[in-house]
Amino acid sequence: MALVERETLRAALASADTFERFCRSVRPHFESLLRSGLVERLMLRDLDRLAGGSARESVRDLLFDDDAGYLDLFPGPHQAARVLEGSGGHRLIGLMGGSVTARTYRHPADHDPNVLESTCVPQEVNEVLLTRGDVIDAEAWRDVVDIRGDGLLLVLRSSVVHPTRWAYDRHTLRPVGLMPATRALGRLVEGLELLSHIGESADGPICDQLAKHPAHAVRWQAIRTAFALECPGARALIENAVRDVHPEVREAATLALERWS
Amino acid sequence: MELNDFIAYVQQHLDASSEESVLALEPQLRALGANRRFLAQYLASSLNSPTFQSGNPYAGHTFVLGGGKDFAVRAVCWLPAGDAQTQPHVYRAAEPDPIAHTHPFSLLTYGYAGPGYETAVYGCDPEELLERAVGEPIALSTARRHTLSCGEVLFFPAFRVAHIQYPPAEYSISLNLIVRPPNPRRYEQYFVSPARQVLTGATNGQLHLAVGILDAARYLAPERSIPLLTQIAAVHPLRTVREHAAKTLEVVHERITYEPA
Repeated sequence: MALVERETLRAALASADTFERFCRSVRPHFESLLRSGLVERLMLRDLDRLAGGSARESVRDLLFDDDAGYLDLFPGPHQAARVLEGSGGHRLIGLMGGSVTARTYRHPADHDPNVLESTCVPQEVNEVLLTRGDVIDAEAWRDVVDIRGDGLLLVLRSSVVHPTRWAYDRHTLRPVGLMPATRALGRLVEGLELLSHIGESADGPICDQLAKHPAHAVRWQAIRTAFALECPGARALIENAVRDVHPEVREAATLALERWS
Repeated sequence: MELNDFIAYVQQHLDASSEESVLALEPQLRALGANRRFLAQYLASSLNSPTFQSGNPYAGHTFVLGGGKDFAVRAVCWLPAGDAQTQPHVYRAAEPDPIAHTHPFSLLTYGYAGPGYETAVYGCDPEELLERAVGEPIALSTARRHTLSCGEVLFFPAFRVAHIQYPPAEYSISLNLIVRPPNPRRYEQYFVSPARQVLTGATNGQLHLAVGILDAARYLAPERSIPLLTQIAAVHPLRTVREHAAKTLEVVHERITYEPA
């Protein structure tokens, strides 16, 4: 049953290529799952197993975290941290138990989410008290949701729409940082950094491939790695990076070329 | 030796219940470490895969290269002291009370690249760690200092030693063979202050899932969860799980008291 529900959600996610479709086609499945009692039954089975000394989680058969997105449980308490974090994917946030308030902020104007702009401050939309079974939706980058209280959240996130997400100062709501949208993107950067220490010029092809990655942090690390390994195509990668869509990559590439020459 | 050969060898020869068996794998780990291309080749062939390091539970520049039922092979990158990023369980400059940690697994580690981290190793009594509560005294032996320089092998037996790791002077890489002993009673990791000779914390590294189950169980119907939580708090083999179950029970009882149906 859990596997069927999971695959139904994943199939719905795969066909939702816009936020509007995400809300229209994924949300009904999510609401149905939230209200079906399946998650509670799986959690009780897990508790029963734990009482028997095992920690295998049945609920993990339902949850996932991969390229398609993620479905996960977040127990409270949800406290106010200094920094609010946005999301690189569209989200559905449902309350399974307890009580929380959700304050939603929204970026009123378009902006490239891959380029941090500290004056691009989201505006408050509303604050709602969620009760069991309630669901709110949040568009990738555009909506920022601040959850507070003690409740169990079931969160479904789509695949990554933007490879980066923003962090905001909770008090001023000014954007203060840019982060990889997923842990996987961070690992790519770390893996390229590791390769730069132990690889050789023959490893250039992987740098060439990742220099075209959608995430600017991955692109730039791939170029740095190609340069560190003295790959034959390193200079061409840097010359191309001078025209990169991301200003930080352009700036770093320009500086590197100046130093090189 | 290639990575796949090493994993196959360990699979065939490892007795996870025997420290001698782990130590006997030192020549094979050295042979893998002597292969200066395997790690770069692993990265070059896997970085562009959508599943690169998916399911890797570790934070902080740790890569899982493979493994079997009782063991895992990892590459860990150690960042120099001045690096803005921080790694879990690594000493930070000017820390007034450095904390040593035990491992719930045996660790055979090889210095693959860089000057390597320095570590202060303290002997401790696993039975005493099991019995003591956080804040109570723990007897540690005098520290022995080692550096995991390139080509060196260090062995940290499960439960019997606690160590502090100091960041290396330069980016360094170690290869780890970690072996989980079969006794689940031992699946806890402890933190101790060598200066104060006090137990400062205990976590449930191998059974962190159990804590997730208990956190989520607070929101289940109390008539279903209370009998199971009571049983877990009374008889689960791990102290951290018993204590967490007892705390969860308190929260559930408080909720019943203050939120009558």
